[in-house]
Parts: sequence; C-alpha cells; structure tokens
Amino acid sequence: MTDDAATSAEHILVVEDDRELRETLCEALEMEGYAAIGAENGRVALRHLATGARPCLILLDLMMPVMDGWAFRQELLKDPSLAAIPVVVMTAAPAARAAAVASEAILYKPLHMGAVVDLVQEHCPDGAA
Amino acid sequence: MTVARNNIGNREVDDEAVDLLDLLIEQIVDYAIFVLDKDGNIASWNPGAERIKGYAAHEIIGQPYAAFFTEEDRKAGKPDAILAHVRAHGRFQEEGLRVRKDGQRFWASVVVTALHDRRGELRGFAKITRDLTERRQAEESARLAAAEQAARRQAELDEGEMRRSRDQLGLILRGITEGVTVLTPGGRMIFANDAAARMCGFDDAEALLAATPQQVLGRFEVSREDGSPFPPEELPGRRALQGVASSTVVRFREKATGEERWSFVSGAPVFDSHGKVDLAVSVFREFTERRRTEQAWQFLAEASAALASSLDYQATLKQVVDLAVPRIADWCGVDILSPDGSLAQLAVAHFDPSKRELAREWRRRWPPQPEALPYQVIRTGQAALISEITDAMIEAGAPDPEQRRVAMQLGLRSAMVVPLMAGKEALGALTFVTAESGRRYGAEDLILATEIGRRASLAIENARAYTEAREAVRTRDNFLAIASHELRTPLSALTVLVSSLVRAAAQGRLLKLTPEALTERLGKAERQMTQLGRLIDRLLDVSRLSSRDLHLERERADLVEITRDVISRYDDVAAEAGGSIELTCAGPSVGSWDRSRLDQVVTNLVGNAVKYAGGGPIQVSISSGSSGHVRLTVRDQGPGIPIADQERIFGQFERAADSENMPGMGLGLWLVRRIVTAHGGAITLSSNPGQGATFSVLLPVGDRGATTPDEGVRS
Repeated sequence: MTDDAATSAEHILVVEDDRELRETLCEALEMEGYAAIGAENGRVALRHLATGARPCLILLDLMMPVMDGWAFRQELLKDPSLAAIPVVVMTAAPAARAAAVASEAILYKPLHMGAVVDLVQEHCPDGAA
Repeated sequence: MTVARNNIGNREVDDEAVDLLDLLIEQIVDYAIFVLDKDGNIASWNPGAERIKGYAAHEIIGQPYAAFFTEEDRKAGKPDAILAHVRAHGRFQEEGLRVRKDGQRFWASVVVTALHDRRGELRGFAKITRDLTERRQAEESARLAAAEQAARRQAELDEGEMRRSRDQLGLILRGITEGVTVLTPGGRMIFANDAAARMCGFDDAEALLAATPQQVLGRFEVSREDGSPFPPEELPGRRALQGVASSTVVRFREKATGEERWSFVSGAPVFDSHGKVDLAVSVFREFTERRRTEQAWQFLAEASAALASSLDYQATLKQVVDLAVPRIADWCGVDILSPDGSLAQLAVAHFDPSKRELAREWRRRWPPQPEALPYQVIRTGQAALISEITDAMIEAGAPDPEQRRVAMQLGLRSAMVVPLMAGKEALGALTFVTAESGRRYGAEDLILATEIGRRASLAIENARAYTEAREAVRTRDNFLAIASHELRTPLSALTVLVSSLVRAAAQGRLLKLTPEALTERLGKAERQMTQLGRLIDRLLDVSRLSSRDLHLERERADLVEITRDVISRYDDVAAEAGGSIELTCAGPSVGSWDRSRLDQVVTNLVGNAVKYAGGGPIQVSISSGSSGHVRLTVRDQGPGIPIADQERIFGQFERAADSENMPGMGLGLWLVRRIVTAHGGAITLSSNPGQGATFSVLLPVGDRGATTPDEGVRS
C-alpha cells in the first residue's frame, strides 16, 4: 500500500480493515481530488507513518484485528510528531465507545461521501485538485 | 322398825295376810310406799320412803304430801290437782321432779291410787314413789354419750369430707396442665404439682418440693419476653409474697441442655384474717409449643420475604439458613448439588460461631457418603424426618472413630432434611438439626420444613428463569449489536460508493470516468449488495437454527475440495496480513455430508484463524482414520484462547474475551458445532495462551463415504 509519492505529498490516511470499504473510500476520495492511502489495521498505519509520511487527516476505524483504533490512537498520542495529526473516527460502534477516542469528529457507519468530504475539506485545504 | 299404819278396817283381809303385807312394805327400801288420808296428809311411812325422801316417820306423818313437791309445782297447785285427778279417775302416774327433806331435787316415778271402802267411799290414797335419779343419770349420760358419739361421727364425716375435698383439689391441681406452686412467707415451697415440677425440670412434685429455691432457680437463666434478664425477686411468686398480684411472660432457659421454655406466670397472695400474707400461689402456663409455632410461622414469613427479596438464590438461601437458627433449629445447613453429583455446602448456621466453623471443618474432613440422608432425599425428592437420633445411627453414619467422637459430643438430637427441587430436578437439600435445645422434631415441624424447601425451590426456579430470561435478552441485544455492525460495514462501502457517484454526477464529474472505471465501480456496488444479501441470509439462518433443528442436505462431498475452495477465498486476506495458509491432505476425503454446511464449517474455522493469526502461518490438515472418520484440523499461531473461555466461545454470540474489537458475530463457532454434531461428529479445541489454537473436527463419513489412503501429501 505504501506509495512513495504520497508519503511526502498531502494525503489522507484511511485505516479500515474491511477491504471493500477501504478501497471504495480511497477511490471516492480520489474522485473528489484528494490523495488517499489505505491501511488495514493500526499496525500497518503506524508502519506508514514511520516512513515519515504526514497525512493531513486520518480516517480511523475502531474495530480492527491486529491493532485496533483505540490502541492506534494511543500510539499516535505517545509520539509528539504524530499527536497533532487530526483524526476522524469512523465507526459502527456505540457512541460512548467511539467517544473514548480523542478525535476531531466521529462519522457513524454507513458513511455518506458528503459528510466525509466536508470534514476532509476542513483539514486538507490544499488537497482538492 | 314398825310400820305406822292407820286401821283401814278391811274385814276381808285376815290378820295373817295383813301382817305379811306389813312385813313386805316394811322391808322395801327401793320404793317409798305410803298412804295419804283423803285430804292428802301422810298417814303411813315405810323405810323406802325414809331413804328416798329423807324424812323419819315421826317427822312427816300427818303432814300434807305437798311437802314433796317443788316450790313451783306447789305454787301451781299441782298437789291438789293430782289428788283431784285421782278422785275423778282413780289413778295418776308420772315421772317428775320431787324434793327431798334436804331440799335436793330428784327425779321420781310416782303412782297415786285412790283407796275406796266396800261402800265405795273414798278413804285415802296409796302413793308409790321410786327414785329415778340413777336411772335418769344413766339415761342422761347415755344421751350425752350418744350425742357425743353423734358429734364425733359428724366430725369424722366432716373431716373425711374435707380430706376428700382436699384430695380432690390436689388431684385437680395435679391433673391440670398449668403448674401450681404455693410459697410460705419465708419463701418455702409447700405445694407444687407435677406440671410445675416438670416445668422446673424435676421428675415429680416431691423432687421439686425437696429442692431449695436456689437449686430450682440455679438451673435456669430466667429472662423476660425480650430476652433481658429477669431478677428473681420480680417473679410473680415473689411479688405475691409482698402482697402484690401480677402476671408476666417468663423465658426459662435450662442451663444444662439449653432448652428454652416459655411460660405465662401469674402470682397471687393469700391473706390471713389480719390482712398479712399467708401464702403466695403461682400458676405457670407453659406455651413453649405455641411459641415455637409462632416462631415457626415468623420464620416462614421472614424466610419467604428473604427468598422473594433477591434473585441471587445462593445469598437468599444463606439468609434462610441464618433465620432458621435458633428459631426452628440449632443447626441449619444448605447443600447444593454440584455438576459432578457431589454435594457442596453452601451455608451452615449455628448461634455459636465456633460451632459453625466446626461444621465446615466436619464437612472438609468427612464429606457425606452416597448413602447419607441428604443424598437420599435428593435421590427420592422426599423429605426425611429423624425424630430421635440414636447412638446407633451416629455409629452407622460415622465410620471414622474420630468423627463418631465429635458427633457424640455435639449431642445431636433430632433432624429433618428437605429437598430443593426445580421441577423434577433436585438442586440440593436443606438440613435442620437440633442438639442443645433438646427439641424433638415431629410431623408438624416436617410440614413447615417442607414448605420452606418448597418456597426456596420456587425462589431458585424464579432466579434461574430470570437469569435465563436476562441471558436471552443479553443474547438478543448482542445479536442485534453484532448484526448491525456486521451489516453496517458492507453497507458503508456501498453507501460511500453510491454517494460518491451521486456527488460526481451532480457536479458533472461522472462523465470524466472512463466506461471501464464506471463499470468497475458499479460492479463493486453489485458485489457489495450480494455480500449484504448473504449476510442477511446468514443472520436468518442463525435465527432459524436457534429455534429448530438443523436439517442436512446430505450428498457425496469431498472435504478436501471444499477446504481448497475456502482457502482460495482467504489466500489474499492472509497474504495481506503477511501470513499464509497451508493445506496438508492425502487425496480426496469423501463422505455423505451437507456440502454447503461443511463449507460454512471450514469457512468459519479458516476465517477465524486468519482473523486471529496476526499474520502468522495457518496450517490446515485433513486425514482419514480407519474407523470411518475424517479429521480436519485448523491450527493458527495467534494469541491462543484462555482455558476459561474455551467452552464459552462455542456459545451463541460468544467470542474470546480479548477479541471484542474483532469483527464477527460470535456465531461462527456456535454454528460450526451445530453443523458438526448434526453430522454425528465432534469438534475439539486445544489451545494455550500465547501458543495459538488448534480446532479439530472429527466427522463420520456416513454410508456413501469413501476413505482415502492415509498418506501425507502437501498441497
């Protein structure tokens, strides 16, 4: 999934274990003019960030194998260089559990592109082509 | 002595005869025989007259005979009246008082006869007097003696009557159920009936009367109804000695046995004629039985309230056991049947905490044998009553000499065991035992105990039904949460796809997509819809399978082929996580199976392995045994499953504790087990935390099955 061009350019990181949703979301963002990179769990996403990539926004699913959204968020907050990256949670989990994650906003599944693009525009002003 | 006589000139009487008569008269000393002239003057006198009347002949002859009469008779004219009577009738006779010369009165028998001559003319009177004093005295003393005897007889009769009354009163007092005692002002007991003796712990009234007040009171702890000490001087009998009547409830606890008795005691003083207390009468009406009945009902009410108060039946059973002591038992315990069929002591109560500990220790050292009463009660579902625990019973029930020694020391007296039932299934038993109180259980106690057992059983059943209902609600909520999550993810992909196409169309960007790109996106939408449809089918399948049996569509199917197919679907996913799936088999493994259901089995096991393997290798193997079985194993090197969770994860909507954030409905393994068992097979799991998990499915091949040579071939 690592795209060398994307690690330096402004992009959106989509952390979602469901392949269909992850790919669909990346393609839809690209159709909106944003660069998007997918990661299937928290560990893969951390590996991506470890390459020096600094996305303008992370769209984060919570329930994932290997490393879930809660654990991933904790890891981000531990690293000062990553802690400031805005995170938007995407979840089908109950509101209370999703709220336990420090985030800019919570998107409840099923997702609507209009709502996703509104948040993306807010955090990635330069992204839209 | 010569007889003084007038010549009365009876010519018919010859002289010889007259002489003889004179001689007779002269010699008679017992009778006074003399003659009066016609005027009543004394004309002759004989020695008898002299002896009786006291006059000599010369003193009295010529005197009127009225001298012999009492003053009163003379004044009344009795002498003349008698003569007048004799003149008229010829004769007068009486017994009456006469007077001697010395004035002494005496009782006399008197006959006066008229003396007529031949011409019938009255010439005088003959008077014969006899002194009746002695006879009279004899008669009087006889009368007195008779009167005395009559009086004595009466007195004897009276005394007999009194004694009989007293005896009757004693009999009545002895026979009544109330205890009666009588105290003297000095505090000495002078009467007690047997009932009083028994209440005081003596065999009979004699034993009680022989005891000192200290010996009697020293046997008991005496307390008021509320349990506070009762000072002996305030007891009604003692207060009665102070002249005060009173009544009160008194609890006597026999120090030796611990047996408690309840009495209603009243005391009343008996005063003497001076108004001083002569006696104090105490009446004891024992109502221990009634009190026990009251306590039993109170226990029943409180136990019922406790049982209804909470659905935690283990906690409420402990409460019931505590409430039973000391009101209906000295010991009370509850045992619950463990899954292995042994009895586990849930709670035991005794008013002395050290004894409670002894009971626990007892159970640790000597667990009940299969023939022990609680087991019998549980097996039969029938309550048991042992009114009197004999030494022989203890010996039979306690083969260990040490156990026997402790049992004897406890002084167990009586016991009841009632079953705790849920429907027809025994859950445990409630045991009630008496020792110190000396109380003996009877049929009525067993009725109460059985009722308690019944209510406790009902409470357990309610608690279980509630737990099951709550479990069902929790399962349903879990199902809804998982189902909604499982549906939302594919729905989300579809929504994102369609909403992004709608946005593109609205913004005129849709036409920028190449036909291939557009086809690809719409194809994806179609796939996602298909997946959603499949998910819904699965959910419905599970919902159906929850409520009815699994129906198999058996056909000739090859497990190796099914497994290869499943692995091919997961290869990409596994590779994406950095892992791989390896299949080891020895050619086809054919059996009479439901192909699509076995696909579900393998899909779930492989899918789970991929999900939990964390990128590690997954090994799948299929082998055929000679016994007509095929074995499928799926091994991952993931985090493993704690032993505590290994059975639970086969439940509906259950997942391993640390997999909360894992997608999945928690239905997979439940379904897998159902399908495998419907095929007559079995599934086992072996796992240790940190060392991965191995699921092993053993499937009988069925009639149309075919086995393959057991040669390991890597695919």
